[in-house]
Amino acid sequence: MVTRTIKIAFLIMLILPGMLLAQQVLKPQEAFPVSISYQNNVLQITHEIQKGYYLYRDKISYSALNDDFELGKIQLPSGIEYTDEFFGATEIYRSGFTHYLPVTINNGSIDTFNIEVNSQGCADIGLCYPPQKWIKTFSITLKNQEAALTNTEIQISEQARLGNIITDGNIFLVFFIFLGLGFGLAFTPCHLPTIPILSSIIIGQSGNNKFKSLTLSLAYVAGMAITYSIAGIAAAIAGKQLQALFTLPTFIVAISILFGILGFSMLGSFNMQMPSNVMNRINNSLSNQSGGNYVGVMIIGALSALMVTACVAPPLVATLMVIGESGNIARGIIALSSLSLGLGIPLIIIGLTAGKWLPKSGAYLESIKNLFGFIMFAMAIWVLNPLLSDEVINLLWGIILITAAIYFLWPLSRRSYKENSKSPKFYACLGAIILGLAIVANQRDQIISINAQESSSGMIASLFKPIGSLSDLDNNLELASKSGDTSLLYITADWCISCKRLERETFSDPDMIELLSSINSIKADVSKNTEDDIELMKKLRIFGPPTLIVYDQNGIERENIRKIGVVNAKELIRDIKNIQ
Amino acid sequence: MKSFKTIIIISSVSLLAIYLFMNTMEQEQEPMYLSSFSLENLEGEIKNIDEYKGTPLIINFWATWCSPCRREMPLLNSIHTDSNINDLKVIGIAIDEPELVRDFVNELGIDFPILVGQGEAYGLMKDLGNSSMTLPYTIFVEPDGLISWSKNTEIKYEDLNAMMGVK
Repeated sequence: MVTRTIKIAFLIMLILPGMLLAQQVLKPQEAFPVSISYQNNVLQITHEIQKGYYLYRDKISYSALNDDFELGKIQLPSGIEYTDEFFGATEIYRSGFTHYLPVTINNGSIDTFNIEVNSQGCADIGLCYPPQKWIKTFSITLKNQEAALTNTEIQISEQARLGNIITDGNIFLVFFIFLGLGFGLAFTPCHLPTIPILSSIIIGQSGNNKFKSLTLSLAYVAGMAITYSIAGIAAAIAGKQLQALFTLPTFIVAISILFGILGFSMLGSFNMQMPSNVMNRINNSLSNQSGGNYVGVMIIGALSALMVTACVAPPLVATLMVIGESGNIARGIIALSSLSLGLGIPLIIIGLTAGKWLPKSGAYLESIKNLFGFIMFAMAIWVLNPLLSDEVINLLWGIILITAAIYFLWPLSRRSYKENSKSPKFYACLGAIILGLAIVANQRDQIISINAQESSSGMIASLFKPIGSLSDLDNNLELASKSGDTSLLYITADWCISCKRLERETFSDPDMIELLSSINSIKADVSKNTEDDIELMKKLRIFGPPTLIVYDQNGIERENIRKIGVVNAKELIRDIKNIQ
Repeated sequence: MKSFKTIIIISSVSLLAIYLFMNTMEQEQEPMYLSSFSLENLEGEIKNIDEYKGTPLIINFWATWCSPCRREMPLLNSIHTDSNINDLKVIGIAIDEPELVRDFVNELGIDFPILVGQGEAYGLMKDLGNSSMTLPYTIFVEPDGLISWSKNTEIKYEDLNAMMGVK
């Protein structure tokens, strides 16, 4: 009986997405993706065609966009005979094909060329796409196979891709992607504090009752979902500047202090864990009512979500920003509640085991708790990342490592040397002290040397010429196109964590610095969110910083290589060189 | 072991419930209303859609190169000419060259009013809910401007009840 119910439930779950997908229509670039590559005077043009879609053979054409190169004779492979009730006999393609097109290069001094690809197709479900025009870029100097395959297909970073899923995707897809994302995030160190909080609730309240421990953890996860969903609604209402709020220095410092307090409480500096003390009180006041325990646990869940939000922030903010952008509250709630459900999966598993996997008492539990305390301290420093330089953060981490090692080593000192020489814990602590000392020494040197020179981020900042408004940008681009320069516009803000990463990891690359100083590099700082900033972001259709926009020699944006989020230097250099 | 099964049932049922809940939320999301727009008709006069305010409308986007659009034309024309349906107006919006549209309308004997547009008509279609920009696209507009039904594939006779809200 039970197995049958399970089977039916799963069957329904399998059928449902199918029912939904039936009405989903692909975008033309998804239905008929085109890619091109060049080698030895031959262009290889690949048309892909999704199942249930078709292209008309006589509507496919290619043309050179300027005189720098000429296309040879176009000889498309023969298609499938098809009789259209209105247009008569014609040929169509139902599956992808590759067309080899000879090319004559007239201007040897240029190495990237634009070609126009035209096509038109329909779908069997009874719809047609308007004639499509794709501009594709190929390069003749990139000889190796991989580089030759480079084309300027739309490349969007993860953040933007998630955004597209939220706004355009099938709702079932949104659910599962965010569920998976949440599950992944559950294993980030930041989310670890929820485990001891929940397990203390379970151990305290459910005893060995598995059902109760499961329902308690479900209540806790539901509480987390409520917090994130409220955040989703707030984002949808507040709009873009929510990111600014999340990354406000005061907010960050507050969260860091909170982590610090948590750390001390776990080390037993004061009797109760502060949040659970507060939470227990909430719980007690509610437990007079029937089901009060669950309401209490739910509230604890909601508060813990609030606590770790700062840490899960980057992906969360990405989601919230997209929601703010699209203003679609319903989808926002769905995305965020599935995210929190995913985050809750490990917690539900803990609930399932009724805390069996968790040590119940003794020195072992004490050690784990203390370790968590130090992890809390590390987190407190980690959230300060946007405010402090790398070196300072590493230095602090080194200090914490040494402190933790000494803390754990202290009780061992009472034992004899002979006992200690057999204890792995003893060696681990010694190792940690040495590692910590090395980090501290190294970072101290670096801080000294950096103070002596100009700071690296300052140097990177000086590579970009600041612009303040849309008219500034237009003037700048006009100047650049007069001198035939490619331009790179970098949208940044003080509070933008990803921007810091971008500067640290991407712009500091020596090749990147060279490229940045050879082209027209400009930046727009939108920290203050002035009228000009808002106008600029709106006009350029920017979600938020960091965004990189590339303009060609004519001052026209190459939208297909717009970058949102952190990109690696190689990719960015390749794309900019491609259009130069 | 028994409790494990209970857990699976609980989690699958809750997943299902969440899913169904989301689904209903999805369908109930923000109703769309027809906003004012102007396009040229085949005589080159500029027509504003507000002329039809207060009457239920079927707006059909099409093009001459689109086979499914052609297939649904007789059905749309019969709705237009059918005197049993009071006050219902059919309006075609062709996203195509005006000359081609004129030939097509004559050839098929289309009686309902046709407006013609290019890029702006694609934009209009996108605003009216067809973001994949495919043709045909048909919407049903209530007298108060509410878009109560839309379809992005060829319409069939069977669609008419749903379109006109017949239960």
